[in-house]
Formats: sequence, C-alpha cells, structure tokens
Amino acid sequence: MASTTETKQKKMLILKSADNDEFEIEESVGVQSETIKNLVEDGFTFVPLPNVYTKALIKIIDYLKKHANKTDSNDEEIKTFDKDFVNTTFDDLFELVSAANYLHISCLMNMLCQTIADRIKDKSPEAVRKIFHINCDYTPEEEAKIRKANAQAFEGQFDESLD
Amino acid sequence: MKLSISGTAFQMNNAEGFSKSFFVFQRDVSSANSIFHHQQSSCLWHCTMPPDITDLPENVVNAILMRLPLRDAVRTSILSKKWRYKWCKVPQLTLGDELWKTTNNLLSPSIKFTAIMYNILTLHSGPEWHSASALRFSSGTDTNCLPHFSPVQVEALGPSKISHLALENLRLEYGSVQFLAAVVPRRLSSALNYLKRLYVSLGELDDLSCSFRLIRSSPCLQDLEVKVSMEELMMKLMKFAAFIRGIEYVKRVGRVRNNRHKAGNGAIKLLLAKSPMLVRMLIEPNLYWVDKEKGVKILAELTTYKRASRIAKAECQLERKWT
Repeated sequence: MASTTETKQKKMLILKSADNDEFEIEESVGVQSETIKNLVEDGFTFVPLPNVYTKALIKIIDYLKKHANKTDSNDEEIKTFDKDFVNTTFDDLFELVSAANYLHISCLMNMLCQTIADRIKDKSPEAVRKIFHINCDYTPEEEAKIRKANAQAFEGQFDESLD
Repeated sequence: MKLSISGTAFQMNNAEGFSKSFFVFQRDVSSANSIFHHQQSSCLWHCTMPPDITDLPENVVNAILMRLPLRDAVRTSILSKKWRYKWCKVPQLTLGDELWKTTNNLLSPSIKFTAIMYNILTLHSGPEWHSASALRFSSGTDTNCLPHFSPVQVEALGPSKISHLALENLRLEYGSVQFLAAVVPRRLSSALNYLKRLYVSLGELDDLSCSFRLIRSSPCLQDLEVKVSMEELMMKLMKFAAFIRGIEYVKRVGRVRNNRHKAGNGAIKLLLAKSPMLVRMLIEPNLYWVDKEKGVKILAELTTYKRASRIAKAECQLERKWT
C-alpha cells in the first residue's frame, strides 16, 4: 500500500542557504535545530535560511549528521570530529556561531563559544581587537584611564598571536 | 563623548520595554561616531557578512564572555567604546580563587581580593547589576588562601551593595562562604528580593550564621541546595532555617547530602515539616554509609514524616551517578 511505503521512507527536508543553494537532509537530522524543528512541526518541508550562508551550512549539516547518529560506541569518533570541526579560523568560527545561534543548536553553540573563549584567553587587547576586527575608538588618555581602573586585569604578560 | 555610569543608567531606563536591538542602539547615542559605525556595519552585515564580532547577537557575545575567566572578560572593556560595559552585563560571573592568589607569599591575598571586589561591586552598582543574574564564588579546598576582612575593608567594599544585587542565583562553593560572612553585615539593609536559587557548600562552623542570614533575607528563594561535610552542622542550619521566613517559600530542596543515616534524617524531617511550598526534595545519601537496603529503609521512613506541603515529593538517590 502506498501509505505504508511512505511511512517506511525517511522524511526529507530541504534547506535553502542565503546564497540560494539547496540541501536535502533527513528530518531526524534537521530537527536537532530548534528553529528547523519548529518549522517542521508547523508542517514545512522547505526551510529557507536567509541568515546562514552555504559555507557555514555545509559544515553545520555535517555536524548535525554526525551527532544524529550518536551512540555509546562512537563517542570517541564524535569527539575527534568535534575537535576537527572547531579547528578553523576565527572568522569561520564567528560565522558558524552566528549560524548556530540562528538555528538554535545549543550543543553546537556551547562548543563554539567555549572554543572562542579558550582561544582568546590570555591574549593581549591588541590581538583580540584584530581577531574581532574592532577599531579602537578610545583616545590614548581614555584607554589609560580604563587600564588604571581595572589594573588587576591588565597585569602580566599576554599572548600576541592571532590564532 | 564621555560615557559615564550615570549616563548609562539614564539610557537604560529609557530603553526599558523596547527591543534589545533598540537598546543597543540607544546606548550608542552617546557617541555620534558609533551610530555611524553601527549603521554602516549592520548594512555591511547584510551585504557581505563582515566577520565583526560586535555584530554578533548580544546573547552570543555574552555566552563567549561568560566562558572567559573574569580577568579576560574585564580586559574586553578596552577594546572599544562599544565594548566598555559589555562584561558588566554578562549574566553570570565566576569568581575563582585564582584571582586573588598571589605569587608573593608575603602579600596577603585579601589585599588583592578586596581591590578586585571593590572594582566589581562599584562597576556593577549601577543598573547593570540587574543583568548579572548569577554570581558564583568558587574556591579550592585550600582555605588558607581565603581572604579575611577587617571591618574597615568591609566598609570600603560597601556591604550594603551586596543587598542591592539583583542576584537570582548564588552559588557558594566550599570555603567561599567565609568571604560572604565578612561582607554581608549582620542584618542586610534590604532583602535579596531576586534571589531564587542558593547553593551553599559548608565547611566550618562559623559559616552557619552567614548562610542563615542569606536565607532569612531571601523572601523569594525557591531552590535551596545545601552540601555539608558535617551532619551536626546540617542539623543546626536546619533548626535555624525552620524558624525563618525564607524557608516558607522554598519550593525545591536539591541534594541534601545525608552523610550518616541518623543525623541527616533529622534535618530532612525538619525541612519537610516546615516548608509548606516544597515541591521536591532530593536526598543524596553518602553511599559509603548507606547501601541499597538501608536506602529502602530510609525511603520507607521518609513516608512517615509529617509534611507541611501536600505536594512535596522526597526522592532518594540510591545509585551513584557518574557525570
């Protein structure tokens, strides 16, 4: 019967990135994202993601696929995957974190935020500025004043590297 | 243009009730330059996606800052004007003892600690405390490095400030209760009206009165988690607690560590009898003393206790959970 073959077949979803690329994934993989889950619950099978670009979406789909098949036996494998996943440039991490935030994938958000925090830890303000692409709009006097107010935080040696 | 704390306060009041993005924008009014920058960058964001973290949503920036050690989070104040007070709005601050440990043994850690606390308390004394909904004091087991305050230092810290905190969640790890015992005055000038969750890990006898004061001053307390290393201490604390206002509102008592069967049960009995709002109580017996068979006995005994709340549920965790 048609209905039984349909239920046996896996339900698929189509995700459309901001650069208009389309990706077909299994519903069970997609619903790890709260945003997608809500849409699926409302009956959508085509999900446009105007805030997520193809490059980030490919990586995130990889992540979701890997984590959808999580069992006790492949725990180590997933750990290695996650480690590789975050081993990328800061700019990629920022793009991924804003995509994960938009898609509401909390485990991915936690992992990315922790990675970013761990990597900017102990860096000098100048290095952090470059990493975050921030233009300093303080005058030297203002900067000195803030440094003095929180002198404790600025004591010691800092890491100047940008990776 | 200078951005003072009072100025921020005014803007924050203005922004109340508006959307978050408007709120960010409002803060930027203090500098015409940054308005321009903001519009420019948000335009770019839509066209070419510049990886400028300032355009990351506020919750993402907070999530990152929250995971940084406090020292690193404070340093972000120097990045740019936009970042000046970002760390003050982080929903959770973690103060660990690595902050006031000194490499120079001759210098008392309390000196460094007082300076840090003074900075945090004064910077957060403005409206920004409202977003600091969780404050976590952690400390290692090395109690020697814990600061001891003289009355003068306490005065300098502004003890009343503690009561103004819009704290919702307070976690006092082992040893750090001593710090608060010094900072919290005998009587809080105003109640900790926002405090909903309190976790206390007790070690020494003099911790008791401070925890007692905290519980008494928290009329809205809902979750109470007490970890004690000595069962007599637990008994005493609960005897205190049974007569105070705050306990009437406690909805959930998490993890009453029950070291030895007999003494700990007295505390549980008291809590059950005196908390009309209690919904759930989790009891975690020390598995060294309590085996499964004994645990079942405890559970059976629990059902015979008089309860002030009709819906209170007492659960006993009999198996070790590895997390």
